[in-house]
Amino acid sequence: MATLLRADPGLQEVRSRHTLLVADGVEQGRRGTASWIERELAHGAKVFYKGWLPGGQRPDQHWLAGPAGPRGARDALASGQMEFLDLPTVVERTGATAEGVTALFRDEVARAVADAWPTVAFTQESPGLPLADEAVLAAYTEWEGGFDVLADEGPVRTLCQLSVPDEDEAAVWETVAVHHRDLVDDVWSASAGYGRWRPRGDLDAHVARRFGAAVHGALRAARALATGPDLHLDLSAVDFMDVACADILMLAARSAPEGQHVVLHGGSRFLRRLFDAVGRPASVRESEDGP
Amino acid sequence: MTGSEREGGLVHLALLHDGPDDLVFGALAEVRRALADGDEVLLVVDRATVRAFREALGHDAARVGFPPPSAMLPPSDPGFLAAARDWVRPGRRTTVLGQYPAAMPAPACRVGEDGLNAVRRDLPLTVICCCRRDADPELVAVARSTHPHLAAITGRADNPDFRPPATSDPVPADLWGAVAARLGVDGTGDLAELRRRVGEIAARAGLEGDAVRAAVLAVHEAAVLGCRGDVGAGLTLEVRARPGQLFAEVVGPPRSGTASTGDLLSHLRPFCTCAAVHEDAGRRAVRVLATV
Repeated sequence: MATLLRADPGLQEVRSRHTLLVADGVEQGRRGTASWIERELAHGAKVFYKGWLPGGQRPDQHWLAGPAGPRGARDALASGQMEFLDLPTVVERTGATAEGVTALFRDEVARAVADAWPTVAFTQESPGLPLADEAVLAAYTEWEGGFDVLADEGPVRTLCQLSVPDEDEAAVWETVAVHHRDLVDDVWSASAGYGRWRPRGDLDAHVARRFGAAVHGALRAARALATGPDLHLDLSAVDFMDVACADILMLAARSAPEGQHVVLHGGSRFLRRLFDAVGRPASVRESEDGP
Repeated sequence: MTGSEREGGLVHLALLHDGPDDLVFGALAEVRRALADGDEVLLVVDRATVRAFREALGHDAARVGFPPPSAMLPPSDPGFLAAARDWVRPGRRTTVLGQYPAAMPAPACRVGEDGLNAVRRDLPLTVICCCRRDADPELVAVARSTHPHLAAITGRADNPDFRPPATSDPVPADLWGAVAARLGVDGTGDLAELRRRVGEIAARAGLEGDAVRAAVLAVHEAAVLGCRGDVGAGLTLEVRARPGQLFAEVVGPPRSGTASTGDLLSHLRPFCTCAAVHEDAGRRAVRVLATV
């Protein structure tokens, strides 16, 4: 595998990421994906798209190449700036193992670099993968970690698509938990950096279960960090939180293993009033920079 | 014992009487029960009725307050609901007995009485409203239809003539002003727009900072309650505002299945001045009042 040239660190902070796009409906998911691909194409990225082709469709019959798709997608497919691979073929080539998936993506990065594309963009549709089985979950977690490694190695961006109606509850939960560091879900999103996990936007009953999954993922990941096991939660970008989400956060903190705390940074006094109203356990602590 | 009594909420009784002695005769069981329970007891009555009460209560009269009638606003007064809140004492129930003024206009009285049922249900009050049987027939009709219970010689009884205000009744409009916003809520996906609208109206009504945040949260939670478990919730939110206060009503279908026990609104009460659920056969309304 060729080593990619490192981009400017500032640029890499913005461009090299691994994001989960959560969509409640087909149209919402397509809009978000189309706008992401359009931006990548405009930046001159080589785009690798993996998706479903129902009923023996060809890639140029996929929604990507239609009016709902990104501008110029049909041309990009024809010119080779975008490649389409259907998901059954992905499974066939990789055996749905972490090693197989990682090897496939590394090969695609290598080909893009060899063809002198400045950046690489991967996006894949909701896989419809049942994640109830521990072994499947472990493989999934490992190959998703592979995208982080690729992003660390060079200007590679990955957009994982999660279509909530197409996945079972366990798959939604685990997918969001694994992607807690960088996700966009309608009225809220989350990112991680400088040792803190930072949800932003509106956390309400509509997204409460997914927020709970992300909190679970963030707590789980914090336990594996050298700076762990405490989860440093930056609330400064939270515009609204309702009782359901506050309850979920406090319950997650309460059920965390002994010795693990949730340390609150930033955010309003009103949020503390809300936490107190639902019951703040001893495992939730204020940082010294609290309000 | 009714649900509101068990939960420490409002108990609202009517007492129809033929004069001071008959009033005291009918109220005595309720007043003695209140004294036995350790309530603060306020009997806001004319001088003839004060005399009759003192005589009937004997030594216990010393444990009762007799504020002058001028100290109590009648239900027809716009400030009646705010005054009702002032009767509440920490850690104990208050029992207040008052007389309808003979000249009280019946429509305004109905608004006040219905308003008490609608938005003061959570207060630990027993309110006994006394109306002469020979008063204006419209006023007597209001007394009969707006009180869930009757005070009688034998004690408290359910009032068969009680008609709870329908959610379509103009009570909130009369109390809280014209509708500032009305929007449909079909599911939790519509809550962001609901919050935006409520926040705008609260700010226009003069609420600031955490008062706006609290009002938005309380109304949001009222809507969440209606959305729970329903794919298409079919709710309507109406928001009304006056300077310093915001009143929101979320109306939707009644709850299906087994009625849940406990206070449905306990989680939103810390964030508003008053919250109440009003349910009849066809609809359910969750009402929230937020003030500066």
